[in-house]
Formats: sequence, structure tokens, C-alpha cells
Amino acid sequence: MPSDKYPLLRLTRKGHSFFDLISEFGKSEDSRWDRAFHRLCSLMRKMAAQNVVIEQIEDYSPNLREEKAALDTYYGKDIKFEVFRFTFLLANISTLAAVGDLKNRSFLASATLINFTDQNDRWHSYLQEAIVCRPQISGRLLLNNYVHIRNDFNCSVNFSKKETRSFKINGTFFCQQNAVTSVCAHASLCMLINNMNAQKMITTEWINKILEIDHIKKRVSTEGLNTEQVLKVLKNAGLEAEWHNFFDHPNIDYAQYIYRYIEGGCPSLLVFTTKYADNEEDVIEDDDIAKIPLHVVPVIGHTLNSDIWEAEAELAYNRSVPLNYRPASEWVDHFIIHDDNFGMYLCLPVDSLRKITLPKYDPTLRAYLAIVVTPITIQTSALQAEWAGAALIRKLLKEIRDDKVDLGIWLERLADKSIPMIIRTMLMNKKNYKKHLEKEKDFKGNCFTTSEVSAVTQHLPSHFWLSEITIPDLYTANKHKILDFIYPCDKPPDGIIEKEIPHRWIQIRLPGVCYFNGEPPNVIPLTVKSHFPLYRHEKDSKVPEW
Amino acid sequence: MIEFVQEVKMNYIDFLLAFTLAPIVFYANPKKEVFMKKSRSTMNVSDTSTTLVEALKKLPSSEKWFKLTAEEKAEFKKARLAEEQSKKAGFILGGSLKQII
Repeated sequence: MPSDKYPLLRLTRKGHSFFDLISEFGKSEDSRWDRAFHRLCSLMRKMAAQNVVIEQIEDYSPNLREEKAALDTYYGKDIKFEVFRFTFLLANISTLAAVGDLKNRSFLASATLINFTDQNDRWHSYLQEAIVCRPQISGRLLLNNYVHIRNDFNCSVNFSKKETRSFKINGTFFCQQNAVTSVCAHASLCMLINNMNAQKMITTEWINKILEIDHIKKRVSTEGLNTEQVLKVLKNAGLEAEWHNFFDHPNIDYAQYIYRYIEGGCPSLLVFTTKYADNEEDVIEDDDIAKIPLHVVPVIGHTLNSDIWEAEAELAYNRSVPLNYRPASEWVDHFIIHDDNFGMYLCLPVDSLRKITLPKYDPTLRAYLAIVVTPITIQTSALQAEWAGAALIRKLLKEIRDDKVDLGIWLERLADKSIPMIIRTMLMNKKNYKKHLEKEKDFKGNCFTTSEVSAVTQHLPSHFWLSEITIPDLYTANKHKILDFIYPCDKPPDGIIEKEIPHRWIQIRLPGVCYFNGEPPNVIPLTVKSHFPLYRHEKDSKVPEW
Repeated sequence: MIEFVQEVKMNYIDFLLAFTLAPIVFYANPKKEVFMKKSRSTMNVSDTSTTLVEALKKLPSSEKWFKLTAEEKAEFKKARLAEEQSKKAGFILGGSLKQII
């Protein structure tokens, strides 16, 4: 029966318990389900939510109808199904009518909670979706907290039986598996795809339909989804995927691998091992790897600690690295993830899944696989582009330095082998790179002329690897680079590295000059002669930085 | 060493220019970088990047000078091979909530 008590306005400011709210509306007897809802409430507490509007949804949207139908089909009966929507408000209001006058920035989150019964009439609960704004304090975003994969989401709230307020939240989409018709792979794929494209949102049932999972003849496997299924889903969403297995090839660092994509706006699905229960003391055999339970989470951003000691000092005190360079990922201390079991905007310390032992000796809680989602098919890896950049720039500087050429102060500093070269590699498209060159000024206030921007960008392919090369002090303090190295992303390996790199590199933008590969190479002078800002997504411009 | 020599050279030029040609600029703002920028535009001091442009123009194509050491080649090959082979391997993604916690 429809209840007259909804919608209702509930106070959530200090003195009003979120624990009570969760236990009042979540009916599951299993306490494991509610961690995500607790995390949502914790974020709301931190962001100083003053009120929440609670609605009981009885007129189901097509997505909710599909969700219920899937559960009905699975259990073979008309199950009990309850839906509540929570709209968290920053504004301090005393009546529901005031919701109609609120500005977009007053809406912090919109979350839908589903309670359903199983074949034994036991209740289960999950957050079917939650749109949550970026973590912020009084409208100020968190320091060095970069949520690259996010969007503007259209939401609404019914603040009376007849009145609806539509609003936009700039943030991210989160959802939780129900462990019956969806598993963590479904939730992660939905989070990844919906945060990339908020105009065409997908659901777990959309995934099931693509995979021909009808919940009768074919059910969701408790093991999860396999390679073909994941790729099929991504392909249907118009996306390409690229992946790396860190158990088969542990010499590739998972954090470096993911960072090179996330910085260019390509999210990843990060798969990691959880507790390996059998014979934990023993070395696992190849066949046993399939038995290790895995969990998957989408990576949507990262934090940056520009004061990190290890990045530079470790190189000096301990390791010798060929070409004496460090990837910019060394300053990344967390990946920002959504974990459908634990909630949204969580910081995963990069070291928590990084091990120095071989996987078979220590298989628990380590990165297993990363699947990165890209707008195009990638044939040349980011690592190859970064290596090519490091090697080519070192050799180029040596070559021209030997000729007693005055390199200028910044190239001289870059050529100094006692200072590591920092490389920040990302997938870039021509349009964004052009905008970047147009809008930024170098340290001295010089900017590129229109004809220079045109000359630098006109021969670029639509997508390419951009390696921004700098030195530690410029990277951590100014967030500036000395040069741009551009390498193709669509060339498959052809075997001979020494031939491959000199043939393939596209161009290098150095202080005061752009150097184009070709026979003979072409050179044009540029107005920008000092160090230049690193590439930023336009939408990240408001993140406070240290 | 080169950097040191260059710094000395710069300071020497700054000094001469400051006391002979542009004393007002120097006293108004003794910061070297600001001073250098102003003096360059007015005094037509040769620009570093012009030299770099010329040097790059003279440079043969990178095939001629791009040579990797054996160690660099080995590291590069190892990393590239690992990334290429990894794409060929399959995977199964994630289990259920009950299976994990």
C-alpha cells in the first residue's frame, strides 16, 4: 500500500544519527550489505549534509521494473520489493516545499536503496545506484584529489505527491551488486561505463541481456565474468579494452600501468586477489591460481603527494635505473576507486596491492589484472612510448650537447644526469592537446601564437601518446614540464627496437623549438621558451593543489 | 660544471649590462630573470633557442644517432614483451559478495 508519510524531510546534521537511518530503511539481516550505505553516510557527514529527503518509490522506472523482473525470474516468484530514494542536501531547510527553490550545489547525493526478499522470504538490501558529488568541504574540493572519470548526472526528487525538482550533480555513479542477478563485475562495469558516459547509462540487466543471462537457463556465475564476456559488454558500449595480467608478468608495475591511462582520462578495472584459503603456507601451483577469489573495482582517479620522499631518494640511495628516469606515477599515493562492497570515493594506497615477491609465493591481496578502457584500439603500449621518450631525449641531448650547442638553462638541467628525468605519459587526443597549447602560458608568461599552435598540431594523428618530460622540482612545485614527446599509439611492434623508435616518434616540443621527425627532420622556432604547465583535464582546473 | 660555467657567464653579462647599459632596470628589480628578459628584448642579445634551432636543423635523422646500450635494449625488450604477451592471456573477473567477504 502506498504510504502517506513519504516524501519526508529528515535532519542529518550533528546530533541526528545516520546509523539509525540505515537500520530503519535497510531490511537485510546480513550486516555485510550496508558498508556501502555507511560510506555514503560518512561522506555526507564529512560534507556537512543538513537534511535528507526520503521517498518511497512505487511508480517504478523501466530500470527498476527490469531489476525486479530479473529477481522474480531468478526466484520463480513475485518477490517483495521496496525502493527508497535518499536525496542528501547541503542546504538547511525546514520544509519540503523549500526543496523546489534550491540551487544545484545544494544537492550532494541521490541514492536508491532496494530491499527484496529471497525464496525463503529473507530480506536483502543493496544500493542500486548512488550519484554522489565529488568530496568537498564547503564547496572546496579536496587537496590533490583528482577524480578524472566523472560526469554531470541528471537527477530528480519528488518533494510532494505532485511536485518534482530536477537537478544536476557533478560527480560519479556508484552501484552495488545484489549477489543474485549481478556480481562485482557487473557493478564495476556499470560504474566504469556510466561515469564515462552519463547520457547513455547502462544497468546490470543491460549487461545480462548482452550476455544472454536470462536467470533461468543461464544464470550469473558465482565465479564472475570471463574475458569474452567483459569485452563483449565493453564493445556493446562502444569501448575498447587493453589489459595486463600482473601474475603472468609481475615485472610490470600495476600502479604505473594504470596511471598512464587514468591520467589521460581512461578508467581501469582493477582486479585483485583476496584471501587464498587453501594451503596458505604453501607455494601455489599454476592450477591453483584459478581458485583464488578475485574482486574487481573501477579506478576513477588518483591522489598526488608532491612531498613524497621515495620517488627521488630511493633512486639515489638504492636503485640504479636505466636512463635514470622516474614515471610521474611515483608521486601517486592512492588510486581513487569505487568498491561496490565498501562504497564510493575510497582511496586505495598504491602500495597495498604491490608486492616484491613473486605471485606464487604470496598470492593474497595483490594486483592480479588491470583492464583499461580506451576510446580507440591501442597497438603501441604506453610503456613503450615512455621508454622511447626517455631513451630518445637522453640520446638527443647528448648528441647536440656534444656539438657544443648552448641548450638553454632548462634543457641543460634536463641533461644533467645527476637529476632524474620525470616522465608523465598519457593517451591524448589532438583536440585536447591543441586546446592545452592555446590556453596555457609558460613560466615567463609567453604563450604560443596561433600559427605556432597550428604548426605544432597539424600533422598529429587523432590520438597519440604524450610524454611530458621534466625534472623533479618543476614537477612537484610548479607542476610544469620542459618538453613534450609525442609517439604513436596505433603501431604494432615490429621487432627491432633500435629501428622502431627512430622511425616512429612523431615530434618533440622543446623550449623555443619544435622538432619534427622526418627525412630530413623539420624544425620550427617557438615563442614559448621556458617551462610550461602540465596538461590538465579542463574539468580538473578547480582542484586545489600543493 | 657546465651549469656552473653558464651561471658565471650569465652573472658576468648581467653585471656588465647592468652597470653600463641598463642601470635603471637593474636597480628597479635586481632579480636576474626579470632583468635578463628585459635586457634581451632591448639589447638584441643572441637567443639560446636560435642556436638550438640551428643545431637541430643540422642534426641527421635519429636513425643515425639513436643507439641503445645492451642494458637499455634488454630492459626495453623485457618490458615490451611482458605487455604484449599479457594481452593474449584470458581472465575471469570478480566473484560474488558471498565468495569474498
